Amino acid sequence: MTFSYDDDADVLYVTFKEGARRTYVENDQGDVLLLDPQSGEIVGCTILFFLRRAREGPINIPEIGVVPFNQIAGDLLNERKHQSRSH
Amino acid sequence: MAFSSYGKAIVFSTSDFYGNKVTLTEKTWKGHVAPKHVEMVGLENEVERALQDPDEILPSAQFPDVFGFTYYSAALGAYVLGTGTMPTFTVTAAGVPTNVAQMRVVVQYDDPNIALGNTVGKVNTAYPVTFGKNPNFGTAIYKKKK
Repeated sequence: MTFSYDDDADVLYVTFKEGARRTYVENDQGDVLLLDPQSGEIVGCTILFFLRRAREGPINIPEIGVVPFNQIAGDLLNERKHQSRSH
Repeated sequence: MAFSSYGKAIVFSTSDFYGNKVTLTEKTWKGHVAPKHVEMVGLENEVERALQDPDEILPSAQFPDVFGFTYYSAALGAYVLGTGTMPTFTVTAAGVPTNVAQMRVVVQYDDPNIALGNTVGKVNTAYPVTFGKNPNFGTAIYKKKK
């Protein structure tokens, strides 16, 4: 699993499996799930307004099971604090 | 997790349907959207067109300052479906919707009253969407007349 965070847009891109062809499905929480169209397996997830939502409460995406989003959010916030101190 | 360094370079800055200035940065596009939503590669102009002449504009169900611009893109359809024509909605045996040829461009504005045309926004992300599925968004505030 890999993560890529766009701090300008506050979007977290999660990749479980690289693949050429995916289908995009929006879930009820405001996330975009990337599915393998053949197997239905979730191969990625795009989480919009990640830190904005994390500040409001724990992020839980039932479709993808246990991912330490709160830990990731904490790390990102610490990284931001560190960056703003060093500027 | 590494932060990419594209500085403040922009892919485009354009007027949306209401006249608001919306910007797409290189950092967001080249650093994140294109590598992660690979179907969008090369479709920067289509994203800009989606903002200027959308099929519909949907308010976010979560945040009042966020809107989704939906746009039927023949270029995206040609890539995803190999046809470039509007498909009918189908699902695979695994229950996964397959016909995706519309794109959704998510924009965050400084002011939620976008219809006034005097605010600014930035593109947060863009991705192909599946017909009939838009639970993230509320009722359209604009729908193009066919």
